[in-house]
Amino acid sequence: MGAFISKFWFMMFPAKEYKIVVVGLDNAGKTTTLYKLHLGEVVTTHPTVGSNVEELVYKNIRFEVWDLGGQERLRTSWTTYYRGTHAVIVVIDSTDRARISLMKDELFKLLPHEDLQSAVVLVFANKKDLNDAMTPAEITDALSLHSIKNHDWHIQACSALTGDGLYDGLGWIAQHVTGKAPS
Amino acid sequence: MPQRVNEEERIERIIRDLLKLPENRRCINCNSLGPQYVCTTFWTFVCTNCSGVHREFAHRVKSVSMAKFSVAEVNALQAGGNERARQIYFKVWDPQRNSCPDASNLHRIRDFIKHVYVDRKYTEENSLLPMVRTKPKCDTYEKHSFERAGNVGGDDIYERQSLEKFSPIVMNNEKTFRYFMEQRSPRYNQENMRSGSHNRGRSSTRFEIVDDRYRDDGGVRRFDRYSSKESRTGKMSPNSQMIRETNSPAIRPVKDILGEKVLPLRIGIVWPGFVQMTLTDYYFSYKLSLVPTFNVVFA
Repeated sequence: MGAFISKFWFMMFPAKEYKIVVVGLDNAGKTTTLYKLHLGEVVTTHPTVGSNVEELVYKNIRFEVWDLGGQERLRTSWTTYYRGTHAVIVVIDSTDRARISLMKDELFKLLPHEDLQSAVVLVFANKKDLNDAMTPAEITDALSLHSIKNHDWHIQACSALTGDGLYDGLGWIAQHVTGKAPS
Repeated sequence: MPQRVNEEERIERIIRDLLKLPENRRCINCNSLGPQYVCTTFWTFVCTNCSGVHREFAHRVKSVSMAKFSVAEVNALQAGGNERARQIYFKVWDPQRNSCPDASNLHRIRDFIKHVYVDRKYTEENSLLPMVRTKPKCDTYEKHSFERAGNVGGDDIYERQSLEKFSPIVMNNEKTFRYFMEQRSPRYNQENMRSGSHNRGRSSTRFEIVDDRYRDDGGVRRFDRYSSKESRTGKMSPNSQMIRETNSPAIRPVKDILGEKVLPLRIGIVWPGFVQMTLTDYYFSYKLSLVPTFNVVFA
């Protein structure tokens, strides 16, 4: 009986899972962001080799979040994770002014990828709790986000350590992916 | 394009070679073998665990195998490395009093990195203000003690410090080094050895063999081997064993440095009043199971 109801329920309201990939340069805070969202606590991370994947539930929406390693040699493998992706989270180290142009190059390298054509882009300006952090406006300019025409994008200042802004960003993703036809 | 590839290969080879240098074969913080990351804030080679902790303090970390290094970075790394960083951040590090954290103990690594790189407790400037300790503490790495200097001869440590201050290279000079080795008490032998081994060319192959082995086996066998192979230090003072273990990248056999004529280290005679305290300290660290068991040491 219970199984039947459950089946009927899911027939009426299909539990949709959305896939998110988290990219960014090394030391940006991708893994910390993922586990802050997943566990609600700050874990001690090591530089990611390969990827981490966790399932998040937010506002009754399930997200499958892939956190990819950010070091140079791992960036080439990002493309292998793009299939079926609904949202891309770009995590930026707001204090790292020297390498933001590098992130811009990476960002514009990944956007034209065919598997990402329907994906929305959320930029997490991480580490906003630090003193010398760039403002979201500065980062928008540095990444020239305004030149992105084919994707919905949004920038959200956050701190993966305190959790500030993380759920705001996820909320934005939730709003924008649910309206879209799943690929 | 081929040129760039060649350049990358060249850089990678340089880094691989740097990793083979004895002082870079171990993580500067926890002394575990085969560090795979470079902390580009201090230009040190660190292990995976320590790299994670460094990142918590917003220190930049790069993987040797997964990151690409620029020419400037490689140059800095060649100029830096673990030995150079030791001269700066571990300048007044006292291996008798302080010990490196264990690779698996993240909390201790975190405290350690905070003390060494953030608070800079062991760079010279800070230590010139003597910190007085009232009783032995469990976390021996925490404070640098001057109390013990009184037992050996209070002037010595200050004299040595001022010497180091006025001529930083004094320890690299073989003659001066020998002077220190022969004039000072055995305790200084231990300390100086790490500075002395700055001379890369002299690192002995024997040292490397020992290195490789005591990575694999447990603490018990490790101590066994010390007591049989090394001079009397091994048996008499548990703490000196700790030193050998924790600072091994920079330590060479005494005979290597001094030749065959070296007097055996007579620790019991030089610091009789101090042994008791060492044991208390050691007992506390034993209680926290930071070190292998007590009875093995005296076996």
